[in-house]
Amino acid sequence: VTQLPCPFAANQAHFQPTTMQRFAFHDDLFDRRDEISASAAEKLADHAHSIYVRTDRMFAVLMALQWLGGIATALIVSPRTWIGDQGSLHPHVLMAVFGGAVLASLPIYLAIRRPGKLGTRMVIATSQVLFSALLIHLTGGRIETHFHVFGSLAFLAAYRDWRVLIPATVIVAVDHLVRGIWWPESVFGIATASHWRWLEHAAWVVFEDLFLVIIIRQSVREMKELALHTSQLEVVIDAAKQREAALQLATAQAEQANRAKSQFLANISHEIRTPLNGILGFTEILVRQGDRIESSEREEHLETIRSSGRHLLALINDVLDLAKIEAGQMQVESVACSPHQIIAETVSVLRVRAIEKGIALEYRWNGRVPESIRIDPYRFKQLLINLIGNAIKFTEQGCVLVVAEVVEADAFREAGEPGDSTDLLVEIRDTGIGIAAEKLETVFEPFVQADESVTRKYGGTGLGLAISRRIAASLGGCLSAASVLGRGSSFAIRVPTGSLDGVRMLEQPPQTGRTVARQESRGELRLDGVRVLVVDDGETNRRLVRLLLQRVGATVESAENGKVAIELARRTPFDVILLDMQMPVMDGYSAARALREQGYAGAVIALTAHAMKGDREKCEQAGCTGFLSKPIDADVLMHTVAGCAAARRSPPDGEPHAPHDGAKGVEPIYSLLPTDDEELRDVVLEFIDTLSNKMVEMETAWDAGDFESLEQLAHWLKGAGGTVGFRCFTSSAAELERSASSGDRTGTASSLSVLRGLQQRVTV
Amino acid sequence: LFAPAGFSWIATHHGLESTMPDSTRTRLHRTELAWCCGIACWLMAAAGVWVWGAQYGFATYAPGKAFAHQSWPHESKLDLAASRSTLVVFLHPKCPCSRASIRELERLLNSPRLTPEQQPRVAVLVSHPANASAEWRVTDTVKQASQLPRATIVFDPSGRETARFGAAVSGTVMLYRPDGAREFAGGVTASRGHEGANAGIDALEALLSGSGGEPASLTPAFGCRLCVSDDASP
Repeated sequence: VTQLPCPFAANQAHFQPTTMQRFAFHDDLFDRRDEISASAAEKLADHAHSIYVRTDRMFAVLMALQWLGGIATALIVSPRTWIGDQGSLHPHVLMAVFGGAVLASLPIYLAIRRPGKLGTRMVIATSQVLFSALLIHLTGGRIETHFHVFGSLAFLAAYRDWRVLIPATVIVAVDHLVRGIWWPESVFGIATASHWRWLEHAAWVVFEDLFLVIIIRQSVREMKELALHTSQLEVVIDAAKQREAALQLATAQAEQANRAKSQFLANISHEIRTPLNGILGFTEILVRQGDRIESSEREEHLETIRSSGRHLLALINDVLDLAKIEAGQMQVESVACSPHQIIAETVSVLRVRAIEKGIALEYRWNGRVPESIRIDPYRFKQLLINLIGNAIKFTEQGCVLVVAEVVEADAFREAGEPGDSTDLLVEIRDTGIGIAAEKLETVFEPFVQADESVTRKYGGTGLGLAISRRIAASLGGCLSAASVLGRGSSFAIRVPTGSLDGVRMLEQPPQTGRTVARQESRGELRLDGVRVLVVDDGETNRRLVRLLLQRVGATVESAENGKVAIELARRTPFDVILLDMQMPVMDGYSAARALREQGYAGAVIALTAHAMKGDREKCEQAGCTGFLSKPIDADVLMHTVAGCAAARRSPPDGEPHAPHDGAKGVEPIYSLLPTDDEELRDVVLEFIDTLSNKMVEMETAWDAGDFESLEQLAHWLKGAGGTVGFRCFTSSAAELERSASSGDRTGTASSLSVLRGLQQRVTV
Repeated sequence: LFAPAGFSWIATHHGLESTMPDSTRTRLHRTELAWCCGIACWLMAAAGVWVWGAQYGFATYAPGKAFAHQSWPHESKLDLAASRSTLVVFLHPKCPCSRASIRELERLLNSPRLTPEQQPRVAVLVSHPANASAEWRVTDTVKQASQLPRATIVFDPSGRETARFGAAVSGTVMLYRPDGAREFAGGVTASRGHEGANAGIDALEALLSGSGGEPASLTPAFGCRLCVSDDASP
């Protein structure tokens, strides 16, 4: 019997594909048909099991009732038997008590202990038919009692398992067969039936079985369909719920984003209004009472205006940085550079601030120093400036210590190139005010500082750490903090170094961290004779730039749009054109292209308020050779113009340099290294010699159209220039490398020209 | 055999059995084996109950007894009908199993297949102890027998009259022709207290309706032993 197929033995195959095809119109149902089939099979099995258990329990009760009923029947119908006048307990009573107990005991026990199992219902089926025989016997063989057999079979069908009919039918047949063989004359009567009469009786039982099996099969089919429909319904409901949940989530996210945006705008509005208030307020005072204010007070007001303006600029730069990072638009490059140089330069720049506060700023390496690592030097430096600047800002006494070391890569770091096995760990430790433990994570959120009093006392946008953490993440690393309130903080930057195979590991850094910032340019910059065209639709901007440049000797003309500028450039050989990129009539991009097309070979410096991704590339593609972002830093403007003018005045064809009148004022460029040290001085001198040779090689390569050699030479200069303290070469060399790599002749010529100019100015 | 239906399918189709540890599998097999043994024992006990009942149902106090007289006993005080057959029914007044015999006779005597002329005269000879109380005469069996058509209840203290006919078991039936020749003697149930078609009642019907040729062979009677005292025996 156990080998026979279970009527509920429906696996996933029973529910597909034909059954499922009916529901193929519903995408969710079709896509999840395997899941539905499995679920339906499980539901069917559960349903069948519950039916088995329930029916087992019903039969357990029935068995007990039959047992008691049999005893009652025996006591009523045949309580005693007689031999003459001697009466005794009738054997039927004993049969009812003990026989009934035997028949009922195991089924009841199994129904209680092992409900729902095949063995249990097989035992129950067997017992039920034997009970029929017993009850027929006890009731004096009444024909009415024979209906107990057929009733029992029908009741067994409640299991909806046709296998239970097998033992019941077999027992009925065997009962009659055995009686027919052993007591033929007493079973059916020899005058009315043959020995095969038992077959007829069994056949009637089978006849009933036939109907019962049909009913069972129909019932099981309906159960299967119910299970399938239920599973399908669940999938549909589940899909609807998921859609609803997704919708709610999206709505919540949108609302959250909206709230965050509103909060951000509220914050930024507040942050912007504060310095603006200072600027406008003191400007108003100066405008209204300028002639009545004492000189010292005026200076004070102007200083307030300037510091407020700078704060505003820093804030906008930070917001833009954050926006770029959040939008995933921040470009991060990976180039080989000296980590020591980046850290040393940063420390050097910030040392002035530390000295002003009267605290020490130290820098050292633990272990050996890699000559170079692969990282984005600009972003790394930005990260260091933020963190070291913060440390200095929040430290009133004591020191700020920067410790760098190469460590094993963090196993849990997600980013990083395959094969990276080392990280650069830079710790910035300070003895400042510290951060409370519960605020350690929140300080990395935008516009959050550890305490509002911190803002009042130390200022700041509250964006620095948020930006820093995001920069660290974009570099493939992480930024963490530890702090003890009142004792100091430690911020740890951990960034991948890239592969260090073949990289020289130095025992000591070239310098010990005592780099002193030196002025890049000694003496005041002059632009005497340099002809500059300022193109901007804003009268204020034109006026400001003209004033700044004229004050250092430049000859400045201006135009309000690109079209006018092209006309002017056609008539006048300008050394430099400062070109706003957004103007009416003709914008800067079109103007730059037109200038290049009409043969203008001088420098075109883009002026733009756009500081987003791709702006620089877009300007370069239009033919610009430089890029200045608004608001314009006067020093940067003058140095850029000076550099471009020098390049312009240097003959691009490599002919001997003929000093131009206007170039007289162009100052020499000194190395940032402390050249009072003899050894370093030699290094710088050696570089200047080498540079001279390399420039000759560049000219030769340019003449031969060998862009590959040019790219290699530019790459050398990009790294070597900065290493010996001539950072002025870095950006121009990088541009030359890029132009040569892409075969851009215009860009290459322009960059080469700038480099020539710079080379003329370098000295020890 | 004992696994839940759903689980057995899941275990088979998903290969759960193969993932079970050996110790678990062995324990499961042992449990199943124990249950199989238990059920086998129960089946044997149930079969014993069945055999017990069947054997008792076919047990008689006078198996294959040849009755002494082939004709109406001359010393009998009962009247032999002159124009129709006489049917003598021997009863123990308290025998529960004899009620099946009475019901069989009732069914026969009320059968439309017998014409009024074919209906026999019925004498129910109820034997009881000599000093029996009145309750021996008003039992259910006696009341039921008194309902038989054309039946006369004759109480037979100590079974003296019964002994003349040689009957020993309650439920025994004898049919005599008017000339005193005995046509039938035996039981009219298939087994003890079991109603339904049987050779005895078929033979009686055939004899009364005149459709049967030869007298039926002896059929056993299933009932209590009649109250026949030893000194009443012929």
